[in-house]
Amino acid sequence: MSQQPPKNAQRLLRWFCQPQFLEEIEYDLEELFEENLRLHGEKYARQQYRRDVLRHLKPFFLRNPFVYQRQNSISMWFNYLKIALRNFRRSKVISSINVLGLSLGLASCLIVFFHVKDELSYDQFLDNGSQIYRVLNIEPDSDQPYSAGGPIPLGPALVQDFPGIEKAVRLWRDYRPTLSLGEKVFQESSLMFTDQDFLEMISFPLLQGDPETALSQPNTIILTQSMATKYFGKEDPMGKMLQYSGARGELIFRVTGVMEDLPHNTHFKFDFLASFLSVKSQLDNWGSFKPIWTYITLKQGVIPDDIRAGFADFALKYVPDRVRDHPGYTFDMEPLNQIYMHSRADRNMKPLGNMQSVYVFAIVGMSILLIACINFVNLSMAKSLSRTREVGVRKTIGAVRRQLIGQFIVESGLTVILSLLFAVALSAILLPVYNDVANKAIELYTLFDLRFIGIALSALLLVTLLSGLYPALFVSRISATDALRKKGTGKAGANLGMRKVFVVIQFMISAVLIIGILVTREQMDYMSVKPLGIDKENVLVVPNSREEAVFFDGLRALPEVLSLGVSQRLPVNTLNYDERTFNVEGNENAVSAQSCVIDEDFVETMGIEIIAGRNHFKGNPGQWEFLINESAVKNFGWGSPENALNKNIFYSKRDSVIGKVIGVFRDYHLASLHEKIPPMIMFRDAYQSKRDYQRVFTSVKFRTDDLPGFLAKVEQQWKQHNAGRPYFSFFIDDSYRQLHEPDHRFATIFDYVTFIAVFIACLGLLGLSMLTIDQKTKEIGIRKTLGASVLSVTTLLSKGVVKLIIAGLILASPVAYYLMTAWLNGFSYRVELGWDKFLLAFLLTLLVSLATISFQTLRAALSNPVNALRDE
Amino acid sequence: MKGTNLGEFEELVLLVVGVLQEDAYGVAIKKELEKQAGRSVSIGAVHAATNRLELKGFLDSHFSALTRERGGKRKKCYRVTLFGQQALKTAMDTRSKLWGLIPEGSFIVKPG
Repeated sequence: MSQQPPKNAQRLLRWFCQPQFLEEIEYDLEELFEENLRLHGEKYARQQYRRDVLRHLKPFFLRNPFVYQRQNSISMWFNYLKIALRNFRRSKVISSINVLGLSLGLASCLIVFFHVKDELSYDQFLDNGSQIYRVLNIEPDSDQPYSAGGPIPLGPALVQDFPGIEKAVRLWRDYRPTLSLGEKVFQESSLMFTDQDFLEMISFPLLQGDPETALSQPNTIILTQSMATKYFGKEDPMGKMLQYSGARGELIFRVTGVMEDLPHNTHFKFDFLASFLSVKSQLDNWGSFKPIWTYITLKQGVIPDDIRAGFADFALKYVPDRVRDHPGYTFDMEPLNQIYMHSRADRNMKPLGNMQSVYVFAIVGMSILLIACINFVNLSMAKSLSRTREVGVRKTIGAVRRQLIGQFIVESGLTVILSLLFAVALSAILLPVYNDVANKAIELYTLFDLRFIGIALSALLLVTLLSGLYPALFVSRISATDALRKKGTGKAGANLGMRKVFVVIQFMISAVLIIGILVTREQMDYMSVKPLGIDKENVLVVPNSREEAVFFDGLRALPEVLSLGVSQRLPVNTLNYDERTFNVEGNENAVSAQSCVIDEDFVETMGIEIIAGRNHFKGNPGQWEFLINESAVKNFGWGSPENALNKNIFYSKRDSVIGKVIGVFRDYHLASLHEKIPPMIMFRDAYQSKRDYQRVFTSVKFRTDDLPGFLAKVEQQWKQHNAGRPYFSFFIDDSYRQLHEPDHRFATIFDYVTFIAVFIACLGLLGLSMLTIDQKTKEIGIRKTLGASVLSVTTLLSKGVVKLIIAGLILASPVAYYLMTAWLNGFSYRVELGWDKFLLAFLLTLLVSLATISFQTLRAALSNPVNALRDE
Repeated sequence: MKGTNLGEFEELVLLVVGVLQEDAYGVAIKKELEKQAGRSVSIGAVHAATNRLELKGFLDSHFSALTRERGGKRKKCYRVTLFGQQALKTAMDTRSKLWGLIPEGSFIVKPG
């Protein structure tokens, strides 16, 4: 017979069947197979053979691994657990240090994970995020070449000139309009005019109203849920009217939709969407680069580079002046879902994140975890010395190395699981603190999704292996005889080197963080005391008033008021930029500068220093006189401030606004210290034209012991003249602080992080010194009997650690130097990175670590040698 | 060794081994069982039963002499041990006794 039984079935049988049954079974099966082959043919025989093999799949025939061995090893695992728990109980302090350190490390990692996850979630919920693009403009010769704002008619012109562009929508943020519904009057900061396709392109859902038609008529408006509640309470807002008063004149909007409040994780920021059709003027003004954002989608099959190729010609066609003034001026585009993390453009609706900070956070979180893991490894290894005898006994009884490794891994796993549970609880407690510090609104329940569980489990596995494997490998290597003869300790010396390296790494990280704290703190202090060019204390800002003169007289009559001034813009603020381009005497090219309309008393009220010329506007009404800052003097090429006096400025030829420089004032900060002070020009509005109250601020310099009383008086005076207008007030120093809110936040987070890291590192040091001293009890006893002093014993015990710490500090210096230089470079005005910080950080680290171990060393040094030598 | 009692299938296998005498190996047992009991029996069930009976001590076994057939595999032949014979007798006696205890005339079917 040439036909053979099916090979795979045979293999299966041999695999699962115990060998002592195999021969009988195979013989019989084969006989049956041959018979079937004869009687029923090959196909049936093979089939029947397979079936018969499967019928032998009974527990009775199964091989050991399936049945017997399992029971055996389960009981072994239980034994490991039991031993682990006993060890845990026996060395409570060390175990607590391990758990505490690891849970802090893991909790920090979890928080970092939450943060990163949140940062990466921006705009990801919007449909087609990768196919919608935001249009940028680029001025290659500028400090900040990329800018998200564009000219008003940009969108429609793009659609018209580029056949590849399917649609374009604009968002035009209206500057602080007033909306009113009967008695309810509010000044709004986030009202956007937008084209009717906006909701079709960008998928924010409407709660009420039809997204396709809601903005297709002029004078229609969509509100967010919270704005609907603010104006209409519980009433249905649909179809109701809102009165608008602002830069676009007086309008009446009909509510045609209500949308959910925007989630925090989007780069968009608006409360109202009004139809662009309501806008009647400025529609073909290419010269103004106001806060207008343009988003486009492309037709099927068109790639962004096709469009980009045409931008240079497009710019030349529509904005030739810009291209002439800024060589290389052009447009660009970036995908919507990458704006938050990757955009380099300024003028965004709200501050963006960046990949760099995500990396920084991830690295910092990992470093803390690393410190905690190192603790764990070091302590486990040091502790394992006292367990050599157990290892010896286990080996003698027949444990193989694999089993011992398994045992030690189980022990670490147990600690890590415990720590992970603590860490989850800890992060739940810390999350509100984090939200507060980082100004986020992450909710706990959103975090426990599948991905979180995946991350937690892999962290568990990773940390267990990382910190369990090394001690396990090390302990299990000791041979049974050595272990039982207590020779294991000698072998342990071999890996003391590794332990030293670990301690050095720990203190390197800690020292980098401490230097970081010192530098960020100093920069923060510097920012709060740096002369800003103005006196920001005790200056109150209120909106400008009707019947200005009467209002001012009323204020001046108050005893608290020292002076008051009016201006179109405010220092250290981001409320409005007004960059103008114009010509100046002795300079062929046009120059650009920030411009600001002020009145006679503004300079005095703000405490701006005049360094040349005069402040007082003389001359007749209708005559133009300019004040410029030092940067402008330099930028306009006028050399010294004195030289700049009486130079001509052709501010606007069309309106014949031409005048002379009458004074130069010291640079003051318009915005945050991240930004350079730009050239600036201030002037009195020679025509005293009607002041648009929403765009002009009244600043009041005051001195009072009763601040609430004074504020109430000012508010009451203002309201007398301005019925039906919204009132607001703020202090200049507050707005300065807000400007640096993100920096303060960063510094605070850094404080927390450093504290945790140093704390964990010290915990480890404490544990390590305890164990070392434990093992050296006898040595200390003998030394003391032979006459060693307390000091010499303390020195002996601290010397080794101090050396390691110093090595860590030295390694930390270049790392810290590199990182902090990079951070400081983000500020145009910053402190110097001096060596004194490094020295201070060194001393601090050394002090903290010595303090940590001193308790242990002193106790050992002071102990009675009799106690140490008694037990033998 | 757990329980010395016989299951119904085990009893049949034991009896068949007795019937077959010298040539009581897996396939033969399976065929004889099918012939006598008139039901289909899987070879797996037979193997499980014979090996279990061997563990219990009711059967012992030897391998036949080496042949050239089937790649030199040997067949495993069984024989009923004394202990097995006693167990069979106990089983039969119990049954006869119980049959005897059934009141005359209550069964339509008669034994034997």
